[in-house]
Amino acid sequence: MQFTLGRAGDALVIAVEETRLDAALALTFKDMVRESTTQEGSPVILDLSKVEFLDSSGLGAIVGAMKLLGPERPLEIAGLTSGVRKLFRLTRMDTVFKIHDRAPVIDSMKAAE
Amino acid sequence: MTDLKTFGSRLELECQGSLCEIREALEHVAVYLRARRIKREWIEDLNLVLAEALSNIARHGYRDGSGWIKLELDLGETSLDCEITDLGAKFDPSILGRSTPSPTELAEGGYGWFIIRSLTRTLKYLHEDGRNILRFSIPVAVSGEAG
Repeated sequence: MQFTLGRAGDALVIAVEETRLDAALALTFKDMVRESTTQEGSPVILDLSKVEFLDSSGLGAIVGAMKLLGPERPLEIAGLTSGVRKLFRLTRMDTVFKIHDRAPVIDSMKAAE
Repeated sequence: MTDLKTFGSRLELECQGSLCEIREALEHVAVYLRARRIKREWIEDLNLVLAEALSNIARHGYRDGSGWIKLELDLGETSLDCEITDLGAKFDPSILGRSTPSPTELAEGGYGWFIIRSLTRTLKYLHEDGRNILRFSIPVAVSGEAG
């Protein structure tokens, strides 16, 4: 899966460069977060501004990623598109995650695949 | 391979129910609805409901394998009627998705049927001649804007 890693101040930013985060990508996504977060930075901000479609499997993988990181390293979400925002609201996951309206500006960037 | 037929306000699609083919099927449905100027938010809802229903069939009905799935859509004035048929394991939607897991539980699953139930009307399930048949409708509105 395509993603970009970067730092924004103290935070580690993971920008998902896919338009769909669904059942077909859920497992790969969790592995990607596990590997990416060997890098320093807290909180971890997940930039979803490219993601137009998220289903319950994708949402479950995001919740799984948050649990993987543990309470010491919060996972925050940025850049929700309209459909993704609706799913967060419907499942009330918008009450669990800190949600930023805009993706943070990245200091330095590294593209990965 | 996905087999697609459209007749005016009706779309029929058959696929082999792997997660990849489901993606392809959903893309065909979205293209079809956009061409009929259905509002973006209804297309998003239908896309989500179909993704949940079809990936449930692939994951549970066909146990992470693949199998035959037929999708039929009828576009009316105010609603889109859907029927999904498959030959996988029988299920009982009457007990599924009555509520969403509490957000504080941090459940990684259990949202699918809740999403389907929240976004559809007249959800009906039949098991006939070894086939699962799921019927539901989604309210739709045609966009007033061009494109």
